[in-house]
Amino acid sequence: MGRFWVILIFSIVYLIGLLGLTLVNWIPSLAPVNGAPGSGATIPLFWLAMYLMALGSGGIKPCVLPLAPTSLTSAARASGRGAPLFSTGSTW
Amino acid sequence: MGLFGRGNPKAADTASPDPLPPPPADDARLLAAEEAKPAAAAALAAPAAPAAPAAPAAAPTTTPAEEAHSAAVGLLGEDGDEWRARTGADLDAAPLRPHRRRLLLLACLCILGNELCERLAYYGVQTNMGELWWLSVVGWMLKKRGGGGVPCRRRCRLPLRRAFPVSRSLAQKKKRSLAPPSPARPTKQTNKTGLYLKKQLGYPADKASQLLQAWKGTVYLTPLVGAYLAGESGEEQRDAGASRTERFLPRRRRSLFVFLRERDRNPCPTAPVRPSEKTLPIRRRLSPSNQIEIKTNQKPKHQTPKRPNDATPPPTPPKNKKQKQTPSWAASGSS
Repeated sequence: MGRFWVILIFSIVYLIGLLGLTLVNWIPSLAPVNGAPGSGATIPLFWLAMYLMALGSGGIKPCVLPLAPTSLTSAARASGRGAPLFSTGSTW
Repeated sequence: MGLFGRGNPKAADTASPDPLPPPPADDARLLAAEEAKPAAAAALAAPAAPAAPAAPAAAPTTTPAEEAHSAAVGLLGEDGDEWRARTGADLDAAPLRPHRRRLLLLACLCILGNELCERLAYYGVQTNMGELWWLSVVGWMLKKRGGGGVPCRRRCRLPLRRAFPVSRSLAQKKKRSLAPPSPARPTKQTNKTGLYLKKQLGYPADKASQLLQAWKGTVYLTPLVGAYLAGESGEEQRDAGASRTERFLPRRRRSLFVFLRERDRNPCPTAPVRPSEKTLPIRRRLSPSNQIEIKTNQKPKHQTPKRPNDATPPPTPPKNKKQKQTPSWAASGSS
């Protein structure tokens, strides 16, 4: 995959994680009440959402910064995909 | 950016209304084709011309065919120019886009905004989920070293006293002077802070901090997955294109290597590289066999026409390396 697709896919994963974290605290049957989880599925869903966020941020973080300088030249744009991440060229 | 910028700023400014220029690989290929065309035409016309009666028919065609062959080698193979131009890894060689300054500003804004949002999210999570998390870690360590809260010999319930034992007289003095120690452990202070994991989900303090640290460790490790997935596509291109000596050099020496090689091919780095100069290796121009032949003034077997570009056209293909290329010349010459 190129950088663009990695960012796109992992952003979706990240958004799913954020949405799950919000829903865990929003849905009344799942929301923790008085220092105890609302149901048995609260804690697994909470950690699932947290680790989805971790995975998504891991896909975004190494790809966003190298995507910026490669967008400055026309060759990278015409090729359709950017330079490989550990590239041998002179980048920043 | 590199030391020796290829881009002409004036040309970049004037080229702004134009659409994006073609990538340099296509440019070089077009140049090679343009230069190979008249040469091939001359080669086709040469046997019919009366100017070269003594030369065999296959002889004049060797030079343009060889040139085209070496041009193809220079474009496709050994030094990976095409790869670098196609992937845009060589940013200095690639033509700059016209609105580069604005794009640079935009890229900087994106990077700064990304960092800002990341820091905001990080400290938001950190404060709400793990405020004073380090205190719970310290309490957990002290509890471990204190034997899990077992009261010590002197009925002191503080695990700190057991973890860092003082001398008996000093301890007795302190114990006499001080009030009897409260049974509360220092880790219980962290339970008062409003944390999500402890207050809402009901985790104990040490387990909450452990889980949070495990999650943070995952956050710091998952960029490896993303980097692997993003760099996966470059593997075959890199193996096909780039030369190995260049790949294993460090970056600065590598750029110096590239610069020296390009300077060998073309003395002026801003001028477009002509394919004949680019693809004619300097080793052949300076090879000792050629010099010896020039010195002794031997007559080559095949009479080659004089070319202004090439100072030393190969009179006879040498036995060691050029033997492989001879069938291709012969085939192109006969056709």
